[in-house]
Amino acid sequence: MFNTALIGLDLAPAEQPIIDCLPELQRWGVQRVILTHVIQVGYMQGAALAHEQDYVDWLEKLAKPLRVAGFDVVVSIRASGVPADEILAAATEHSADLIVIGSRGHNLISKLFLGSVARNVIHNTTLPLLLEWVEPTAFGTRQKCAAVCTNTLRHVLLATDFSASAAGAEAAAIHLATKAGQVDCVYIMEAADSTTTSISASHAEAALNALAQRIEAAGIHGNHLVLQGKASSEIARYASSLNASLIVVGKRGQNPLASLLIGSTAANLCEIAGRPVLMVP
Amino acid sequence: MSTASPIGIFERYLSVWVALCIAAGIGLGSLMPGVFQTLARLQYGSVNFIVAILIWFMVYPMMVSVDFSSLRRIHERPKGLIITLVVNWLIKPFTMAGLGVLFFHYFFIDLIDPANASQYIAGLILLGAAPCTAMVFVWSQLTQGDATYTLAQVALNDVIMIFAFAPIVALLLGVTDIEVPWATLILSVGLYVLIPLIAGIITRLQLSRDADNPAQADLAVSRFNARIKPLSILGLLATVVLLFGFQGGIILDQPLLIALIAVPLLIQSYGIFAIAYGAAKLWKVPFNVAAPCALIGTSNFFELAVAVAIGLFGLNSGAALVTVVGVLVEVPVMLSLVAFANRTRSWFPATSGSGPTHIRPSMSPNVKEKSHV
Repeated sequence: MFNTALIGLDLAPAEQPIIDCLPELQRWGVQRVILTHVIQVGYMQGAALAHEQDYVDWLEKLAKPLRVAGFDVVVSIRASGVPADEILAAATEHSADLIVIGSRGHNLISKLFLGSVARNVIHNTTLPLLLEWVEPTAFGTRQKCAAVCTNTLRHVLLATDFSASAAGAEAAAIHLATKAGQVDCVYIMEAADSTTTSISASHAEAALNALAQRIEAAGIHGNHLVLQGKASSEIARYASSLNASLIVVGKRGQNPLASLLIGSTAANLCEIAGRPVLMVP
Repeated sequence: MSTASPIGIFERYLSVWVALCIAAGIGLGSLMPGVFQTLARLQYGSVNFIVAILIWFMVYPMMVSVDFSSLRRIHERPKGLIITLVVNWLIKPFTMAGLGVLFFHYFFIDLIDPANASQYIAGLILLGAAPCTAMVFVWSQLTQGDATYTLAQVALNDVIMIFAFAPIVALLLGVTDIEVPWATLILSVGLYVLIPLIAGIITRLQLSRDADNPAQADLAVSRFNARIKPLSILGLLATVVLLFGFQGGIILDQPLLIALIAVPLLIQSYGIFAIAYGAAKLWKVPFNVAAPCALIGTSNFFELAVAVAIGLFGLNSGAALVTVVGVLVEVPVMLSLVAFANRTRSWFPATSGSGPTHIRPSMSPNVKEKSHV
């Protein structure tokens, strides 16, 4: 399922611990890694283009331990006015089946004015996307990695709404279950409205049971639970209470307007999860 | 999956944002003229505090981006730099002034208020006297230009600008019979070029003091610029709103004025491109130098032109109006020239000998990104 991973790096110091954790992807089945950095070009931006070779050298340095770990590694420096689109284009060109990028919490001002590469990748990707949590400092990220995600398959939490758009996430979780320590499932009942596909608690329990059986067929045991509330907040809270090492979610098929106004569950989740999130379209 | 966009939304639709701000300025100026009058009174001598702050928002981040260490490699592309220097400093300011005189003293004399002709010419002179700084890498990248050359060119132009901008402006204003307020001109260059430049150098040194290599230094500067880019955009757009809060009446009385001002600007842009691009072709300059050389020569440092026009002639001056029209036409003109350059790539030798830039924007399907395996 996961053979080639495109890693979109912004090369911030706080991101370094995430790079150190990449060998973990071998357990996911990843054999080939594309290390990519996109130089942003725009109004007052782009002077970094003149130092392309320095960036290549930098990525090559990061690639060394990955090659030692057994990955086939390609490094690629790209340039664009829209880094998120460029990451997606690079993933297509390299036939990647997984994209990995860092994700940070964003305050309202930075959302309004700066946008977020991660958020734009989430909205536009058609490939599975692993969002690695990045704290404001390298020290913070390293601590978080050590506490939560050095072993991303230690305790997986699958959040599903049983819709067609969650089928990919369910399949991914079942695929990863063969190598995981534990896989739990959760269904969040949101207030019923026209934009959600809420089902009754009894139906959710039945569906979760069926899903748990499919996971148990992979040889591991997991718990399942129905919760109520706003999906992204409840998933993040529950994952935190479990100290989950990875959250697996689908990509909601909201229309663009709804997505713009309220944000998709996955997009919101990636900013509050505090741990890796695998979003599967 | 979406196709990668080589140019961001703000940059691609700059003309739209400026047009919207013009409309907003005209509307707000009509609805609440008292507010604009109050803002106009917040000044000491010829310096309006609000405008000064907005201009600093625009110019300071630009100066942080300028890497003067790139001047060490200036000798590597001598032909491109010679064309750049000749076009930017010996041709462009003079053709702009000439077109201004031709159109506003002769061709359009019956279509405008003759009393304002000198103001429009002054605005054109200010636009023509300072080469592009903020958008250079957009134009360079869209033509797969040599980024090292582009960086060196910007640094060199900005160094020359410190010394040459004021004398060229003064000379051209003088020969076109426009009174030269020397003290204000020097003050404007000091306020809007020298101070931001020094602040930019200090900031750049601070940001890159812990960097182990140029890429790390670049990243630190890039992140800083990304954080303050909204302020620059705000500075640019708010200045346009402010300007048109004063100019609204003029535009409403004579809505075709903007189109009239745009005519010499368009002729200048396409003409300067033709000169630089033609010279590069004749001199067999490689395409990855020829294209950014011609494009950067064509576009203007409109932020500085707006700032100095306001400083010299006031917020409600015809000169300030002209500089904003320069912003309005910049992106459509440049994108048309980018398209032309990309279609005529075969006119030139393929690449320069030592240019390191191989990154390809996804806009051009006929060229490939170079990955390093």
